[in-house]
Amino acid sequence: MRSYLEHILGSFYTAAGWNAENHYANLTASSRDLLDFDLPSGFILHVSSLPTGSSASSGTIKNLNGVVDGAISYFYSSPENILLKSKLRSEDVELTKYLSGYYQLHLPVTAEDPIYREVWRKGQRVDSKYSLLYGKLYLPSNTLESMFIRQFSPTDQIVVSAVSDPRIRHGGAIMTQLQHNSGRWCSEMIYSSHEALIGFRGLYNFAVDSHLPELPLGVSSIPGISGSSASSLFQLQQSWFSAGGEIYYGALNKAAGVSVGLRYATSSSFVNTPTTTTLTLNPVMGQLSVAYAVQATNSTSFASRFDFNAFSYESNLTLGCELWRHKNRDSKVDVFTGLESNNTAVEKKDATKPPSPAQKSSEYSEFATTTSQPPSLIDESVWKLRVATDSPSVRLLWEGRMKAFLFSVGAEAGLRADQGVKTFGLELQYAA
Amino acid sequence: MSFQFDWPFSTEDNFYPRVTSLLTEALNKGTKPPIIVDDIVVKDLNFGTKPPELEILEIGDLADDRFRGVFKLTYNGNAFMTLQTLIEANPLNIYSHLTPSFTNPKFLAASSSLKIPLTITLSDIKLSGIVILVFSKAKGATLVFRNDPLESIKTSSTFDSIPTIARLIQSQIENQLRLLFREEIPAIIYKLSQRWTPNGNAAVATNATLNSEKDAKNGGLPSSPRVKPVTLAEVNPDLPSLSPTNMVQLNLLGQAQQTLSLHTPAISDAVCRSMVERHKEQEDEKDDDDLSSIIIRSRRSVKNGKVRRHRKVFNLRRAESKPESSAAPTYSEDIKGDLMSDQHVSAQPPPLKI
Repeated sequence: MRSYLEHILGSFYTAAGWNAENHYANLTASSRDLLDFDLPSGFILHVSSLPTGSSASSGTIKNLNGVVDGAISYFYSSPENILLKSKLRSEDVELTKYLSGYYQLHLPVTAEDPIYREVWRKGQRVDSKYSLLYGKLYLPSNTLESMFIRQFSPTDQIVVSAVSDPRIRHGGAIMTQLQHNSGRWCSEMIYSSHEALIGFRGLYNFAVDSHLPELPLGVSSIPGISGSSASSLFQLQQSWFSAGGEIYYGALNKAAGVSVGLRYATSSSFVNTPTTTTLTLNPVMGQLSVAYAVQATNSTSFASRFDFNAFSYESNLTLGCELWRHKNRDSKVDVFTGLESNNTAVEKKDATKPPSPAQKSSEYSEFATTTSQPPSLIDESVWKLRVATDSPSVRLLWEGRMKAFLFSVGAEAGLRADQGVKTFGLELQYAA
Repeated sequence: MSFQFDWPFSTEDNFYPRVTSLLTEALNKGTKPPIIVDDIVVKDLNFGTKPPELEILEIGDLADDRFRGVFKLTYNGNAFMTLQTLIEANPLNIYSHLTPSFTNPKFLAASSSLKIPLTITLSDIKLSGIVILVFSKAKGATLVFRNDPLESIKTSSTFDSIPTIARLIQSQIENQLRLLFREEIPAIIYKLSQRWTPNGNAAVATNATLNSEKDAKNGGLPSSPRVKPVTLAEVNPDLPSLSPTNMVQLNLLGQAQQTLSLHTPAISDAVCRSMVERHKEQEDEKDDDDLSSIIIRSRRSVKNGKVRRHRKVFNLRRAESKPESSAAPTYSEDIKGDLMSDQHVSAQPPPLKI
């Protein structure tokens, strides 16, 4: 389950028009979210609130084997109301986007011209740059984490994250990332004070036309369709190649590392099923990793990954799948816009799909009396399963929404008869 | 004074496998540095042919069955040990484990792990240090190093062709071994010496019998845990000759007449009466010093939980003639406090009046 910080970050990037999928670190995001999901440990409760459009706060209580931990965190964002751009309340958050399912990639588009960000009033410029400030204090252990993001322009951004903990050498660490993200090319320069690590990452999308034609009039006014998905409606290209690499050097511990990666992704279900294929290679250590993720139907996704090391001949195969249980489909669905009659907006990807047969039949039976089932306690839920050849256990996760709470129950169980359940955890989130 | 060592130990059965397993367990206890990704296994162990030399510096406790001394230990023999483990070859992988998670740049494949097997042979061990050796026939033997004994050690490994890694391994192994000598060797030698103590043998036999009982699924009470009767002197020769169990029984007997407890310890050929009070005037009781009046007086003097101080003179009259009683200790007025003192108990108590 994503933390509230990741949720706020996603909302911030959406409002600021920053394409976080374009980073090299997210090259394998689709398969990673399906195969490497984290299980909650112990019992965790998160309570968050968004009192204004610019500030948010969150508190956590964790109980693991009798040890009780807690944390509080605060967020502040600079231009007004940018955190309201996407739904953050746990009652009506879009679960398929939030519960880290198959991460559907969108064709990278160019960032907007910075002239659209200027706000003038009485001859003076009064706009403020997009920025986000975050702080989290872990209460028993007195560890402080903080992060500051500032966008200089729609294509340039700096992220500064710091940790202050007396147990770390020198009292803490600070990491700075300077990022440049235009539609075709995304690069990052990284510096971390822990062992003085310097890094450079870059990703290039092939044959992506950064300069898109303007949207036809009237398209962006349709509710439920935002700018980028509208442009992909009118794009002929639905699949693209990306290639990237990273190189690091630690000045104090004389450590160095390099890796390259390649990705082929398709994004629309008009043409074929959305798939993502990635290949990453570490030439120095001889590690090769190939992953394939596919969204087979509206409710199922599968992923598999094969790792192989050319020097030590270690290999590993990981398989994962995800099954969704959606809301009852007996509510009336408007064919053109994809809006349901109880006025919850459908996710972006549904707008690009043709209406499913279930929706059509319910649309035709609009005039007949529909028997509505009593609303079940669990709104929407997803089951995730993962098996791997290098570990003799199965990871199982069940996430969903119950009333206004997002819950996540995870367990890791051994496959042999004498092994029981190794870990079990429950996590609850509530955001107002 | 010289010591004769029965060295090497290879004539003992099951010695080398037992030491190997104990040493493997000791090396893997505690947190390993992130560069070592697998258990450290002792593959080969040989104590060599030359015993260590002990020079006596100080003898502390010397008796028939126990012994304590401070020695100077030097070892220049040809013992050797071979260890096998897996180490991590990607420094960025170690970095991603050590750095705090919030400031971790999300490495994509640059931190993938590469595990390399490593075999190290430690030979030419030179030890020189001051050691405190404690030996007790009942409890076993142990030795503790007062300073760091490791002088030099030669390590040869699979990375000998790369001098930087060989130097790194040498320093890491030396650190681990110093830690081992300081903290784990006393425990290992103590456990090994348990085989020669009677209590250790009984403990080993106890485990064997209990395990066999568990296997047989014995539903009733387990049989007596002792395989053979063990005398008190064997277990702890330093104990006094009085058994604490008997003292507890006597105390219970004395207290049984003061409490509402229903427990009356059974004494053969005697009648136990719960009330020893006689109905007498308080003045007549003042100078009575038989057991019952003393108890009555002591009970009366305890008010609100506080013991009032007495100013009584007690003459401990014995059944024998007077000259002996004059030699008996008399309490002066300075004695205040509890009447049931040791002196009183050890003297022959007057008979209980029925």
